Amino acid sequence: MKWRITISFVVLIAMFIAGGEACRKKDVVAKPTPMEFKVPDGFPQPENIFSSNPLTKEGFELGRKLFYDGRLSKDGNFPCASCHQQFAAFATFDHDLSHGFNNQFTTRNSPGLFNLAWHKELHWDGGINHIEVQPLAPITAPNEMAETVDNVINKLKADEQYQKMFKAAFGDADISSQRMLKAIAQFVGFITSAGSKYDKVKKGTAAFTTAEQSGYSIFKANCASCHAEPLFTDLTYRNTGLPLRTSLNDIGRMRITNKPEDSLKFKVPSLRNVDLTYPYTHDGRFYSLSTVIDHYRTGVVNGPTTDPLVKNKIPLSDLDKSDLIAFLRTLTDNSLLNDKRFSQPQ
Amino acid sequence: MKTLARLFIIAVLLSSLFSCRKESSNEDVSYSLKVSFKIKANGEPLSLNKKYFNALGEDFNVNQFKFYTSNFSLQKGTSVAKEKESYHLVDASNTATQSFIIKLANNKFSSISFWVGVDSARNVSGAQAGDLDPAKGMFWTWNTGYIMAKLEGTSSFSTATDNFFEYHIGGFKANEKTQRFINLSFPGGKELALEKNKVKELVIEADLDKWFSGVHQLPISAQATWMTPGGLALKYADNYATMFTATAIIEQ
Repeated sequence: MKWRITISFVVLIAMFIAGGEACRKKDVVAKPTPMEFKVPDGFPQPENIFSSNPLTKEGFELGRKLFYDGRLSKDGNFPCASCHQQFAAFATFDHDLSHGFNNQFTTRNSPGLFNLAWHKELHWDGGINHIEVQPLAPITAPNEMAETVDNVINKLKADEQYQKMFKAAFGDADISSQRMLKAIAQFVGFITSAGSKYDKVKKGTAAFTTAEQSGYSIFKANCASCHAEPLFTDLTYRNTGLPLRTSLNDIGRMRITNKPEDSLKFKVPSLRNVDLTYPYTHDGRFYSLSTVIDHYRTGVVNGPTTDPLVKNKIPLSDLDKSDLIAFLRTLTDNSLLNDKRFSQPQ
Repeated sequence: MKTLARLFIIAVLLSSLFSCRKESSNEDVSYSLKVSFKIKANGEPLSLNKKYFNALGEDFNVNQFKFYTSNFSLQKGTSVAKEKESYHLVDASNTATQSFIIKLANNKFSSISFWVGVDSARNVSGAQAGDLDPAKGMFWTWNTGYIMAKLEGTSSFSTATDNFFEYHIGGFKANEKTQRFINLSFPGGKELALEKNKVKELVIEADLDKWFSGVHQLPISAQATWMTPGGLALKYADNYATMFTATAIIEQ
């Protein structure tokens, strides 16, 4: 018995020596910790955004820091979070058009950032075809963050904390635009909103009031074909009969496709957290849910591309309207607004 | 004791076999070819900020000229050798970008092919690195996609501000494709034979004059700027597809 133990011991030591010699690495870095992306009950399968960008705790934390870092902008004042505030479901509270560098306005309203893992295309016109490359648009736009990619990378390279965090997330200290973008995509792509009262009612752990229940029926009959459950958007582009604002001259989806049939079409926004994401529409022209509903009741302007579902307007009584608003308020997800994982890192 | 020593040796040998296998490429890429682009205008090597004339009689000065080349492959009959991760941004202002070594598995070829531009797959796959890094300034941030070729400068025929002309040519979707396939035979119709541990250089001329008139007549006076996919971008792409000729094979 003793003999056998000695043999095993010798073999073990020998293997250890040989193994150590064969692949001694200069510096061994701890592997990042995988993070799981949970698909909420009843949600469809998301886009494959983490297949070539494995979600890790370190990558997510790096993305979170970048999201809140003003150094991604030219003058330091415009982090992603300046237009995407957590308390407004990552939209901009109370601004019709987003603000940017040097007191400039953009031409569009900043959308809420949640459930983006289900979006194949981003922006009101769908011009962005992958979540990883989206930040390049605001970072380089002269009326948004007004910075160059090279400058951002140089600022990050000069920061010791970032050197550590890139190494922890990606295995070595190389800081590149690709890694920065992948980290931001991990943070933003992870943000999911599925904890509203509506979701609780669906699970049977809460109940609608009479008005909310009535509003839900009105919603299903009049709104759900575009604002499809459970994302509350069918992710298509539609002209809802908003007259062209000539000061902005925004033709929407046509700018991307060059097709006249896409003129004045914009992406159907999710109605989740809609009570918090005012003002509404692509250019923030409506300041209340009431005015949005009034647009569908009486304001729709018909043109060649106006959606057939709204061109005859949507007849709703005043009571219908107030019930519908009561329902829409059940889509507010307080767990998203208070989730510490998404807040500004200390 | 003898048994112990034997066991020790066997264990060392075994573990060195299994413990740390290096990733071995399943393809042998032992042949090297240096590809060099020589950009010309009016028959001479292009100098930036010098006056040239296009075939339409218009003067032009170039400030910036860059184009992507990608997916290099060399072939003879049915035998094809492809460069892996094959993306090269050629920049007229930076000679270091105009020559690069490509590694190949075979060594006898009758022609070389490549694409001008970046394939559709890399236009829809998120953040890229190397020559495809968006920091290279060849990426549209508002309508995702690579600018396949960029030409900027001035001409007295331009009607734009300060006589500027600016062509950012891109687009990869159906009906908007600006990638162009180039297939070149070698000078004199000869075969190219590579040897291990020896680099040969293939010189490819890029004739900028063709930009304005290779297939379509595209005067600066009619269109001094084009910076979106679709429309005229396709015609500029047809033109830049005619720029290339393999002119020499040089023994290093």
